[in-house]
Amino acid sequence: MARKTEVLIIGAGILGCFAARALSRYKLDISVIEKEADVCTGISKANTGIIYQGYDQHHGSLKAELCKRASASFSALCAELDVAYKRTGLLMLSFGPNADKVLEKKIRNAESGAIPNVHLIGPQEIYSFEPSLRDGVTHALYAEDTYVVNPWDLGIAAFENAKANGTSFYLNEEVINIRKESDSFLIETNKQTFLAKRVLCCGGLKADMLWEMVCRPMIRLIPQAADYLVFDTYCGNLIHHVLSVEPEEKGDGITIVPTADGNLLLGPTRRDIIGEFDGSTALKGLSELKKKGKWLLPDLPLEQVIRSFAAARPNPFTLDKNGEITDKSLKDFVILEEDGFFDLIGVKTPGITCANELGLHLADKIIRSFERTPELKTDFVPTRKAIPKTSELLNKNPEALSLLSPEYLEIICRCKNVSKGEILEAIKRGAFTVDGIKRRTGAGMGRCQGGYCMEKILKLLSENLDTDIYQITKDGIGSEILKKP
Amino acid sequence: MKHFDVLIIGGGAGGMAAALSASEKGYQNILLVERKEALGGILLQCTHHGFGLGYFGEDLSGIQYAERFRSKVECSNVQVLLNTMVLRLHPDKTALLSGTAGLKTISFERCVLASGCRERTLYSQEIAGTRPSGIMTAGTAQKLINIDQLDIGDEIVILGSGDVGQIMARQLSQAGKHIIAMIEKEDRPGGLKRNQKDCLEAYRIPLCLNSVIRKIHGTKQIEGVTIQNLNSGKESFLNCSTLLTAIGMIPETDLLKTSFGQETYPDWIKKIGNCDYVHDIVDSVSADGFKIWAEK
Repeated sequence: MARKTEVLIIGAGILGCFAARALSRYKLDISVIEKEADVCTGISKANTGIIYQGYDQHHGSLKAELCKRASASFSALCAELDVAYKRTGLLMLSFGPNADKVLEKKIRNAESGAIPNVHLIGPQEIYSFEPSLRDGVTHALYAEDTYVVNPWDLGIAAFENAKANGTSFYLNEEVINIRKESDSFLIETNKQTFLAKRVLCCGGLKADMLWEMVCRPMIRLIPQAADYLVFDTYCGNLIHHVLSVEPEEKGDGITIVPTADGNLLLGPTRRDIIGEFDGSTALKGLSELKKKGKWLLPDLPLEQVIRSFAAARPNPFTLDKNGEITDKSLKDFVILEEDGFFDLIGVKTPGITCANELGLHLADKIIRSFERTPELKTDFVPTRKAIPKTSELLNKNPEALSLLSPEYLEIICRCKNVSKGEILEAIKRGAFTVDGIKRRTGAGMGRCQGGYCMEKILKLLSENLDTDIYQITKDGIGSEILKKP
Repeated sequence: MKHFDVLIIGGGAGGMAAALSASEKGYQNILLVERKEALGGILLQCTHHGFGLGYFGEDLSGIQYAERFRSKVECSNVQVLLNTMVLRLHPDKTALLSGTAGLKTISFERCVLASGCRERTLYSQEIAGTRPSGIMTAGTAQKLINIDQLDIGDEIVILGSGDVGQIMARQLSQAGKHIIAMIEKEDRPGGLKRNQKDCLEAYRIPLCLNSVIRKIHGTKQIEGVTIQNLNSGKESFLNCSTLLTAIGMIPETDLLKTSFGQETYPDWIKKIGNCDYVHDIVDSVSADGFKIWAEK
């Protein structure tokens, strides 16, 4: 028997989660399937987390429109979903006449697009903002309303809110086949079959493949990999704004982010992927980042790297009549649509920025595609509360901390002062892997990378999920931390 | 607010020695704070021998060494607070403590930081590839095996030849595990001479000198590592189920940095033992703890 649902969303990355949240405002039965063991694990977790203003987007494009809206409503969204963010502003730096020209062009683009608080500033102001910066800077595009956020915080918040509003999530379910059946779709996964009236595919790197299960090939994704380095919070005060360099010569610039957690994030590089992407970082990429980082910030302490990671970006290319890949790379967000099958394909920067707006946009399209427009719920709850953070309450509101259960005073992660209470709450909210705890609480993300807390978290997971400790995984089946003798 | 003459942070070898010494020197009101459920620190996961030769003139296990000190502390006037972490020190000589017993602030005259050291992680090295399960520090492995009686895998590569790595190589060999290789970037193994003899030579641990790991393979579980010989440049692949890192220790002074900033801290705080600098043997950590009150 197929499980009936009105809208089936494939992929519980940040985009799938926000689309689910937007749709959950309506009286609809919504199901989300995710092939991984947790939500927001793919591209959603591995990016800079910058919320852009869209000053360099092409007018009239969907990206420009959504970016502008997203930027204006971002703080309200974070208030609604109780997500921490920082308004750092962004300085796009130039070091010579070529880059100066590019910045001027971007400024004109921002002006004609009526994007507020974006202007050109000179060296004196730049160095007063960022004294650690190398010498020789000529100008900067200053985008004052740029924010930084932990992308997984945002995605998990959308997931929890969509779930609270009735959306069903199915993890560890991978689509094997999709078939059109009169006015519905039969979606076969490794576990069950769904019968859905509408399908929304937010399948990241697999979005093209999923489309081709039911429709004529139109777009092919050619992923490129990006490497990143994370520096300890001890370096967090080295810079105060997101810094990015507009290269004077050909080649890629660099971006350095003072993250919402107080770390520094350096990246991305850009490189081609040979074969299937397995999350590997490349030595060349890592050393390129260090070199560029040191070039921009001479005092950057390279020995303070606490983590490196890599991610793949889906670059969409159109196919010609014969199904051959053309060299035409698509710049805008692409939403393919055929008979009730919607496919969001090739979303990269500014995907995190636009996640909520894309969700609303897609929900709108899907709602309008029904013959009888679904009604809005009267009991939709737009707000969600984050897990209380002991480390934050210690600094801001110790009295509030004493009102919580005493478990919020038992520190489990020494580097980030994450308490047992936070970990238990994360388990209650659906975390069942070590990485799931890490993304929801920050435990294990500090300088010792779980050296102290991993063992404690294993035990807490085992005890509270009533599962053999040997079955507790890092991030899903197959990644068991311990090996049963 | 409770007031103490002496606050000692960390109940390992150094902290216990500092507490006992304070007691012997006549301090009345001594508080020893330990974040774990028992005194002993890292000694509690050291089932192997080689402790106490300098201090007791006996060959003890880490657990026995800790026990000797613990019973002395229990017989002294030192007040012990377990399951409690010092979260902040303040310039007015107060400290914020958090634990199962709640959140509290205490004041004190003198403070000894005996917070030990932590292990350097894989990320301090220039290593590409994936980050699957099966990678941990040698100390974490020691804790999982010796305290929790759990198993970490059978086919083991050890990166770095520090003492903890060597001791784990011996212990794992004794338990019937296969140590595929120990990878060391220098031209000789690190650690104490006696560990080289008793662990590496006695158990014929294959040592790859002048070598580094370049890449980690495997998506869900580690499947192997690419190592490179720095002299010849030659790369080779080693299959493994587990990678342990033993690439050195870093003094843990985070409390000072989070309380007072990067560089400086007040002179009423004294660092002793491994949080001052990493000592080779525990006997000298204890000696460091006893020296601290010499000036009174």
